[in-house]
Amino acid sequence: MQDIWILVVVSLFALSSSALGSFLVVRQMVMLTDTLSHSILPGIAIAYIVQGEKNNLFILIFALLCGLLIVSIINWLNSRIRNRNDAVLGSVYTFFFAVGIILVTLFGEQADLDTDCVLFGEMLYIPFDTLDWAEMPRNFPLALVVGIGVLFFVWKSFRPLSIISFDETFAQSIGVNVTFWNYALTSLVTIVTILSFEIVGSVMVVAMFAFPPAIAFLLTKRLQIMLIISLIVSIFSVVIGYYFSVWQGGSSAASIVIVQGIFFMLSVIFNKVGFINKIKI
Amino acid sequence: MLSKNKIVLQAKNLQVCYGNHQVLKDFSCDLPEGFMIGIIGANGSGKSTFLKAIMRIVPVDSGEVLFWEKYNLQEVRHQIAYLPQRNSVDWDFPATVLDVVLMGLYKETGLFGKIRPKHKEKALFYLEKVKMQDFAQKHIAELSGGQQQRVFLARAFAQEAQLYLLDEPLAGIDAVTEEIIVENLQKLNSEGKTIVMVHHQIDTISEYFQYLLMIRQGEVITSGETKEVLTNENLQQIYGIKQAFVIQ
Repeated sequence: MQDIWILVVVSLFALSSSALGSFLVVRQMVMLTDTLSHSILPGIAIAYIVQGEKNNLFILIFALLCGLLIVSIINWLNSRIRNRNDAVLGSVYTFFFAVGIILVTLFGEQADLDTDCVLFGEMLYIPFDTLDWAEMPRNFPLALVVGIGVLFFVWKSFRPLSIISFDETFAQSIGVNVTFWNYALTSLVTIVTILSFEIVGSVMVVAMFAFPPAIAFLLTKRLQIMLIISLIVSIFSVVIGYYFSVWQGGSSAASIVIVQGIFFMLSVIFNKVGFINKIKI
Repeated sequence: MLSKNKIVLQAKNLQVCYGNHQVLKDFSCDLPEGFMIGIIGANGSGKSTFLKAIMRIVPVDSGEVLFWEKYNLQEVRHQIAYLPQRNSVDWDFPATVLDVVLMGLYKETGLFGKIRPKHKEKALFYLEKVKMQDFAQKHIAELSGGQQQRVFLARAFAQEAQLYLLDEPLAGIDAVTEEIIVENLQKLNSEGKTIVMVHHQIDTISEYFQYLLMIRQGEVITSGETKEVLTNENLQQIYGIKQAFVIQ
């Protein structure tokens, strides 16, 4: 049962991230998740300083607020500095990370930051951190609500999101509120990144957004199909990667990333030789 | 139907800046309805920015744009089709030719509505107009530059507008594609639609356009019927060169 809880919770986050990640990949914005996963450090540090003790909910709220602030700054900078998204992400990422480091250095006595947890998360603790009122992991209701919410959002908003992702200028010309949709997408990315961060760590959170959509991108010529393949790949890689880690005894998050990496390389190789291109989807 | 020679687009003292650089300076013009209108000028003179300013794609610092003499953009947006430059999008995007044309049918489908067989039929009808119906299921990355332009044009046609604002639809395409595009635009024009088009090829100006808007460095040099304003002096002025052109 413990394995099942881990797989269910991680799969729900994997579904959310791969659905949103599909739009990030086609817009070449996937490194936004890397920026977010590192630059929320000031939010976490401030939560420690204000609260004085480790309180997950408090940290989560501060990290979310910090993430939304960072996304607003990124969106604003992108509107001012056109076509330099990588430079914007790199600058914001390092600036906020540096602010976080200074806060941790100044008030570090109260901080309890475990590098392993930050990198690879606490996936194996999922079944042991249960709710007071029910025999289920604390993260499960949150993962379920976020998963359903994200999939519903992507399903209902598919057309405006796809039009904006392909041709923002045309979208503006027909009256689509591009700013609203950009904020909606990036805010959801922020929420999923921060919620996943605790469970899967800063490395895998990026992989969950990047790998399944990138694999799907190589396998199809339609965004709808890309989304579906991306969701399937995300579940498969979680299941295979998790049981691989159980078998060989290593980190579950790292194993999942390795499985995704292998899937990705296979799609690149077979796509290059034209094998996948011949499949009619 | 609005009568010919009514003003379809009126720009009053438009000012647009990119940072410290003023792209449109006190830009005013009246464009008549029912014409094929060419916007001509040197690179960087503000032709594309003018179209983007009309559609509020770039922020306008000051000035006003009126459509059909009294309406603002929000009131008549659905009557206007804007065709951006082909290189403004990523053609590796996962979409088929049909998907792109279906984007132009948003008036019927709504932004959240379902695509139904009748919408696909309509999209195919417009693809047929630009002789691209056989490419409907192809990935857009497989198209040549001219074919991409035709797909963009089919999407604009699918919008079934009264006013078409086209940003360099004839740039970088072969003679066959140019002929197909111009034929379609002239047909639309003969049905009473107004075509406003950024154009670069001097040798075809008099053939394609009945009315010209001539721009230099963000300012209107002159505008009027082609036979009146297409003079060597005006061309020299907008392109900023001393040599005279031979106008056929």
